Amino acid sequence: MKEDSQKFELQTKSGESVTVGDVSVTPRSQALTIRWPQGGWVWNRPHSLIVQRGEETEHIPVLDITRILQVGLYALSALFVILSFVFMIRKVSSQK
Amino acid sequence: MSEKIKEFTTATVTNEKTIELIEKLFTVTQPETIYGKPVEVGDRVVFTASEVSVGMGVGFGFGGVFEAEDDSEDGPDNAEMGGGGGGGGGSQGRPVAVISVSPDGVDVEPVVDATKIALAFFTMLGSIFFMGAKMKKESKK
Repeated sequence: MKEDSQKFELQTKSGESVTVGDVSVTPRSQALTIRWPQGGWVWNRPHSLIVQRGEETEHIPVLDITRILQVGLYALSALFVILSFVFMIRKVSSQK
Repeated sequence: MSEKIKEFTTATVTNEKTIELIEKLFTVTQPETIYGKPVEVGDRVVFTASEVSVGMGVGFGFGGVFEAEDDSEDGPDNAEMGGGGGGGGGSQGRPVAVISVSPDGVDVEPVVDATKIALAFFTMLGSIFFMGAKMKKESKK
């Protein structure tokens, strides 16, 4: 394994453009890389699309709806558990 | 060369090949890995966007004792050597969106995994009911 390689790396790369008529779309990806001496882990996800039409350039994000909803629901669960504990601790301390 | 030295050399070569394999793992960072090949459908071009994660790890260990001095080319025959190794890895991929490019513009259609969302939803419901019951029990005391 390369010694100069970084342990943590977040890269955003552009792929090959797709052109239809005067619309040109360049997909962009974001990759998180974690390396260790005898292994590694890579997570690559779609980031955005660069849409070019004539002289106009537009950035369209590629949203992962499943991930957003999943994280939101798990965060709500965690928040509810924390709030419940806070409520119970307050209740116990007020009874003493 | 004695058999034990040969085994050691073979193991070292295997280790180097494994490191080469790990280096290949990092080609997953390329955008071509997650964006599918564009397909023409009428006047549109459609391609998919997916999420990919890949992980791998290996470990090796060698050891040995050379009890007698041996200057011969073949090396010591009474060397006690041993080694072992293991490794593991995994990968997963999931479609995120379908992108459609037409002369009129670009459409990004999200791909929703209902099973994953349902699991997260029932986890949330479970935690609400469990903690709600516990709070009710505490307030009765």
